[in-house]
Formats: sequence, C-alpha cells, structure tokens
Amino acid sequence: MTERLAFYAAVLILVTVSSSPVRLLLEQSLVSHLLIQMPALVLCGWTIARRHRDAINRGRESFNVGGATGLSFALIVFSFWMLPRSVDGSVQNPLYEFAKFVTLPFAGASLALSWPKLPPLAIGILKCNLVSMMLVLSWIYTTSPSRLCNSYLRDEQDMLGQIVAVLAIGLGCLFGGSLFCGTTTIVRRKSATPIGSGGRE
Amino acid sequence: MRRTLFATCLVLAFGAAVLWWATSGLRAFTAETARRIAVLASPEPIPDVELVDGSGRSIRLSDYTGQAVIVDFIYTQCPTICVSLGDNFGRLQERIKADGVPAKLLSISFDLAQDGPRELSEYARVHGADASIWKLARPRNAGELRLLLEAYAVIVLPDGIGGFVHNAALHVVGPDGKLTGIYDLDQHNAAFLALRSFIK
Amino acid sequence: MAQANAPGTISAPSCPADGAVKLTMLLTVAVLLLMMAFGLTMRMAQGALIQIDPTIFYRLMTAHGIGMVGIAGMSGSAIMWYFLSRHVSLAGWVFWIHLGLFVVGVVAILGSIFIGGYAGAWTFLFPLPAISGGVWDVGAAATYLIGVILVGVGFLVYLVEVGRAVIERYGNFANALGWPLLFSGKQDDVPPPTVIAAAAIVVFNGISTVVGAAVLIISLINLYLPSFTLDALLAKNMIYFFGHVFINASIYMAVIAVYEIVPEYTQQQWKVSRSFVASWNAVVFLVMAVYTHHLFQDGVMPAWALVMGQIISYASGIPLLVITTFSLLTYLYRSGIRWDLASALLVTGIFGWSIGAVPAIIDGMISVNNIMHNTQWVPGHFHLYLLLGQVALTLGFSAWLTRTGVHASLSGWNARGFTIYLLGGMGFAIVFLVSGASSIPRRWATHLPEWHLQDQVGSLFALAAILGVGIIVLPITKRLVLSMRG
Ligand code: HEM
Repeated sequence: MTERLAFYAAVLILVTVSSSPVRLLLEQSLVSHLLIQMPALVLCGWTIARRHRDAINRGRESFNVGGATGLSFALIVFSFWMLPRSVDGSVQNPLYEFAKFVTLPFAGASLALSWPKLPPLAIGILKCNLVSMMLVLSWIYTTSPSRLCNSYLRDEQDMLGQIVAVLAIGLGCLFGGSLFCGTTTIVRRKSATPIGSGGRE
Repeated sequence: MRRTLFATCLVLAFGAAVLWWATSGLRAFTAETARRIAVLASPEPIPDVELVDGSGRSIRLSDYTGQAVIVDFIYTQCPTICVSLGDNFGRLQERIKADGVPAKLLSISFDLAQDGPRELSEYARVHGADASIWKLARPRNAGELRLLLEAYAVIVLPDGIGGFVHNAALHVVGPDGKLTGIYDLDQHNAAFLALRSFIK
Repeated sequence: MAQANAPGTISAPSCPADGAVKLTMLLTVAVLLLMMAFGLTMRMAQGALIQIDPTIFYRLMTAHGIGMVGIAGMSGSAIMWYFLSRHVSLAGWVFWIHLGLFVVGVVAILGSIFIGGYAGAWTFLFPLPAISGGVWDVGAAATYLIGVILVGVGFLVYLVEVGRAVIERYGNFANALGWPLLFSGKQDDVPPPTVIAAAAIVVFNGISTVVGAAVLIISLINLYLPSFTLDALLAKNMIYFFGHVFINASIYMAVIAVYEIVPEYTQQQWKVSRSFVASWNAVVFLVMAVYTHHLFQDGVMPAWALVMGQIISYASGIPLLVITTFSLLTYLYRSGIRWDLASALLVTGIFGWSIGAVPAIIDGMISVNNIMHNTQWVPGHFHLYLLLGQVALTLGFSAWLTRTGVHASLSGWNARGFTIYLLGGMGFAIVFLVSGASSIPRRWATHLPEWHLQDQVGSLFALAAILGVGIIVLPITKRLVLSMRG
C-alpha cells in the first residue's frame, strides 16, 4: 500500500521537477541543482522501478547477477553528472539537459533493481567509499581557486562544499550507527569451538 | 553469471568511453578547461561585431587583421578580478612595447548599463592604457553583446549586489581573426608567447 | 583441538584462506628482516660507522617507516583473520584480495622510493610529498600515494568483510562489543574475546581508513593541481589520526593471538569480564571522541586541544593494556605454563606493549612544552612497543602456527635466538630513549660527533636484535614453506 503511494508520489514529483518553472528554479542555484534536483530525479527513478521490480526482473535475472550490471550503470551515470563540465552543460545545452532528465531516473531505477541483490560486502564498501568521496568533493568545492562551473557563483560553490561536508559526516554517523542497531538474523555456527577448551575435553 | 559478466563489461566499457569523451580524455573536468583545449586544437572564428571606444570611434576586430590581439572582458566597476585583468594587461602592454611584436590589446566591457565612454576612458587612465596598443570598447547593443559573449564563451552572472561574476581570461585572437588560445589571468607569459608565435 | 604439547600432527581447524595467512607470515618475516637491515644502516650512518648520502638515508627512512607499519598491519590482520574464523564465517577469497592489493601497493611504494627517489617520510605529511627540492618528481610522490591507497583499499575490503561476518553471527555491533554484558550484565551468548576485539577494531580502524582514503586522494589531487591547497593543520590531523589508529590497530589485532593461544597453554579460557568489555569499548569511543572533535574544528587548533588529543589517544589504550596484562599475569601465575618459543614470544609481546606505553604517557604529558616530541624519545617509545610488542606477538603466532606437535621446550637455538632478540631489542630501544632524553633530534641523517657513541651502541644492539630475529625465524620459515607446499 505504502509502496503504491510512494509510486504515485514519485511520478508526481518527477513530472513537477521536470516542468519548466520548477526546473529553472532549482537550477538557479548550484546547491539546489546538485542536492535537490539531481537526487530527486534518482529517487523518483528508484521509487518507480521498485514497485515493478519483480516484473522488470522476470526473465532478466541472469543479466544482473549480484546486481553487478545495474550498479555499474548507475555508478557511471553518477560519475558523469558529478563532472562540473556536465553540470555546466546541462544548464547551457538543451541536449545535456534532456540527457540528465533521462539518465538520472534510469540510474535510480537500475539501482533499485540491483541494490537488494548486492552482496553485503559490496554495500559496505560502497558506503565507506561514498563518505570518503564526499569528503574529497567537499574539499574540492571549497578550495578550488576558481569557479568550477561557469554558470554559478563562487559563494554557492563554497556553500555546496560545506553542506556536502556536513552530509558526509552525517551519513558516516548514520552508517556507523546502523551497525549498532541492526537486527539481522543471527547465524549460529554449529562448529564454533570454544577456544582453549580443548584441554578440558 | 556469464551473461552478467558480459553485460557488466559492456556497460563499463561503454561508460569508460563516455567518461573519456566527457572529459576530453581525462584532461578537462570543467567546461572552462574543455573550451580551452578545444580552441587550442581548432581555432574558432569570431564574429566581426562593431564596438565603440571611449571617444565614440568604432572598432572592429577586422581592423586588426594581420595582427594578433589579446581580448579580455571587463566591467569597469569591478572591484576584484577586472582590476587584476587590468594589471595583467598593463604588464602585457609593457612587454609588447619592449619586444616590438605587432600585437594589440582590447578590453571589452559587458556592462552596457553603466559603462559609457567616460567610464571606459577612466579605466584606461587608471591602468595606464596606451591607446596605440591597448584599446577599451563596448558593443553597441545587448544583441551584439550576446553574440560576442557566446563566441568567446564568457558567462556573465549578476552577483546580486550590483556587480557581476564572469569567467575572466586572456583570449588570444590570431592575425586571421580566429580565437586560438585562452589563458588564465596570471598566465600572461604563456599568452605573450602565443602572440610571438604568430611572427614567422 | 590439539594442545600444544599433544603428540602427533596438529588438527587445528584450518581457516578460510589458510594459505594466504601463511603467505602473509612469510612475507612478514622477509620484509621485517629487510627493513631491519635498512634500520641498522640508518643507525650506523647516524653513528658515523658508515657513510651514506642523506638522500639515501631519507629514502631508507621512508621505506623503513612505511614498510614496518605496513607489515605490522598486514600481519596483525592475518592473525585476526585466522582466529576470528573460528567464531564467525569469513569468505576466504576476501583475504586473498586484501593480500593481493597489499603486495601490489608495496611494489608501487618501493618503486616510488628506490626508482623514483621519493623520500618524504612514510607519513606523507602535507606538503612534504609535493615539496621535494628537486629530489623526486611528482610521479614518484604520486606512485607512493597510489601505493598507500591500494593498501588502504585492501584493508577496507578486509574490515568490511570482518564487520559483515560479525553482524551475520551477532546481529549487530552492540552485541559483538559485549554491550548486553557491559550495561545489563547479561551472560548469555557473550562473544569471545576475539569477536569483541574484532568488532572494536572494525569500527575504529574502519573510520580511520575512510578518513585516510579521503586525505590520500586529496594529497594526490594537490600534487597535480597545487592551486588546490590543503589546510596544513587539518591535513596533519587527518594523517595523524589515520597513522595512529592504524599502527595501534596492528597491535590490537596481534593481541588476539594471546587471547586464543595462551589458553591452550594454561588450560583456561580467556574470560570476558565486564572490565574487559569496557576496556575494548574505551579504545573505540575515546579515540573517536577526540578525533571527531578535531575534524569538526575549523581553522587554528589551540595547543591545548592538540595536547589533550594526544594524551587521550594514548590513554584510550591504557585500560585495555592494563587489563590484558593483568589477566595474563593471573593466568600465568596459576598455570605452571610450559615455556616454549611461542608462549615466550607472546608473553614478551604483551610486556613489550605495556612497557612501550610508559614513555608514550610521559611523552604525552611533557609534550606540553614540546621538548621531547622531536627527539629520538619518540622512536624510542614506538620501537619498544613495535619491536618488542607487535613483532614479538607476530613471531609468537608464527611459531605457534608452525608448531610440530612435539612439545619443544625453550632451549637450544630457540632459546639463544630469543634471548639475543630480547636483549638486543631492549637495548636498542633504550638507547633511543636515552638519546631522546639528552635532546638528540629524530630524523637527522647526520649526527653531531658527541652523539656518535650512543648511535654506535644503538647499532650494536640493533645488530643483536636482527641476529636474534634471524635465528628465531629460520626454522619457522622453513616449516611455513614446507606446509604451504604440502
Ligand atoms: C632492529 C630493528 C630496527 C632498527 C635498527 C630500526 C632503526 C630505526 C632508525 C635508525 C630509525 C630512525 C630514527 C630517527 O628518527 O632518527 C627508525 C625509525 C622508524 N622505525 Fe625502526 N628500526 C627497527 C625496527 C623497527 C620495527 C620493528 C618497526 C615497526 C614495526 C619500526 C618502525 C619505525 C618507524 C615507524 C620509524 C619512523 C620513521 C620516520 O620517522 O618517518 N622499526 N628505525
């Protein structure tokens, strides 16, 4: 039920952020462009795909074992839109803009299909890497001697850098904290030998 | 498993190619550097827009044919970056004089609302512009300004407190009227070397 | 499980990636001897016993620092892996990846130093890698940083797998860190010491690896784009955080060998008491408290904050150290333990670690006036707890791993090697401390004539330590090679 609600909400949001006034409004500032518009596109793609996950997956499972293909696709799309050049492009070139509105929701969708299949090891590494990369990005935004995007003001770049730093630390705390309250099913090993008890048998 | 491996490799290969293309071969991460690399590789023609200088005379790029010109974009009220542009132009002017290269400097104001002939002359006086080498001018109207800004890929944004933010650079236009190189403010040495390279 | 003195072959359950663990121990022994030789060369150069060019000295120092720290971390991680696999199920291939990345990283690091000439010290403190005075080029510094990054990625993969396996078995880290026992005295399904230690290490080394990765990539970008500057103080804090935590973790991981092996000798399980749990939790949370505070602080850090940070980061390990040492003493007291090479080395390791902490505490207290901090007092302190602590634990584990099943009492060449190593190592570290107390600076390639005597005595002890380690590892190496073939 909630999934259905989320689905419709996502469709609605996708349409809204794509509409000209909202699109231009969010693109007016670097911060809202990168931290609201782009994540919204990804999230909408994720939510829409999640509802039909099974239908989409059916018959295609063998192309996405362990979520490898979908994850690779998403990571490449994210890398592309992380380039300041692409951000500038999307503001100045309608073709880039169009590509952004197509690829980001698809990246979100492909992540939604792949995430549940990812091995826990991969998820852990991705999370750690995300926090590291955000710290680096924050440093790049705040210390770059020049503006990285010609379309935006320096102040916004600084602000973006600071927000990303806070987000990185927040996410780090969240990921770290979640380790402490997980309720994963506990697997007891039959063969777990108490150590040093060898001599007592 | 094998299908996934194949699909993943395909996605990664395609993705790597896209990223390679999007960064001009890992050289350009910002639009600015991308533009510089592109211009260096293939010089671009610049529209021959008519400009007006401080004493009302008209100037065109075609007036300079046969000579290299370094163009920069300014607005005279600029408290920061245009001052440094002015300083760098001043230094370039000295070197051009000393070296005797047939090259000129041209500062174009994009602040049509505030920069009239008087402001341009004042800026020239403050920075010691020698009119035989360094001229200041402005386009006649907004349409032609936009044409110019587009050609040079200069983006001007109002900064919200009465001024502008713009990408400041030294644009080298060759004797054939084509934009051949874009350099950072402080790379006046590189820009000067580019000027000299036009002398056979 | 077989006892150390049971006749016949050893039936210890083999761990996933058993071969990789053994290979790691072989690698450890080889790198250890090589880096010790580098150390001896440096010490002799300081004592004017030999002449080497200062540029060579700093290359050796860089290689010695990163090589020793790297191999300490690697051997520690192998020990933890080996024993943790008794309690949770680990995927063997992950350790192979960890080892593979380590080897590739080490090759890059050695290449950057001995081919590229990088000599900016192992701590790659900003802006040292970038400022070489023309001795090395950007490529060398970058190769060095990339090498360290590869090793770091290997550790990240390793830590995440350990964390995953621990959660799979214990549900979450609160359980794995023994919180139910700590806070409400619950006695059921209390994790064994190894699991508690592993969980603590994952949290605290994991955070440092994430921070370290960021600062490494930042340093790398800064090399190529110097206009992207780095706040030197912040960088220094991040690097020290990373370095400190990493090297401490290498000991904490190795201590697990004591928790798991000593009970085989004393016939008594290592007990998980509330204070034991509390001491491991202190390691995690005190250090984190200090450094998150540092990271949040922008701009200039007041001196008192630095000093406090240092004291707490040293002090955080002290409860653990005291409790481990104290428990060890009580176990030994009642047991009538039979000494052999492995048990002797393991016990030495714990005491080396404890004794090594004393100068650190003194250092932490007096660094207020910054007198000691750039003297050889500092290498004195860390050689004590590394050479006699971490290395002793690692060698003890290797000796136990390659035990023959026939109880070998500590005699013959084993005993001689052990004694020479112990005396040599002690003497070597003490000379550093004495030199530090007489204000001889650290990291100087050339020493004043009045310091030469101390340096020469130090060299002599160093030679003894190397000799002792050589005698100890010879049979171990042979058996490791044999068991890997078989
Ligand atoms: C016989 C064995 C060893 C000898 C002869 C030796 C010698 C030295 C010398 C001469 C220095 C430079 C001291 C100075 O700053 O003036 C040094 C530094 C250092 N050693 Fe050792 N060492 C030995 C064992 C070890 C071990 C076992 C470890 C760690 C597991 C280690 C880790 C370090 C580190 C981290 C440094 C600091 C390098 C720097 O300042 O950048 N050493 N050693």
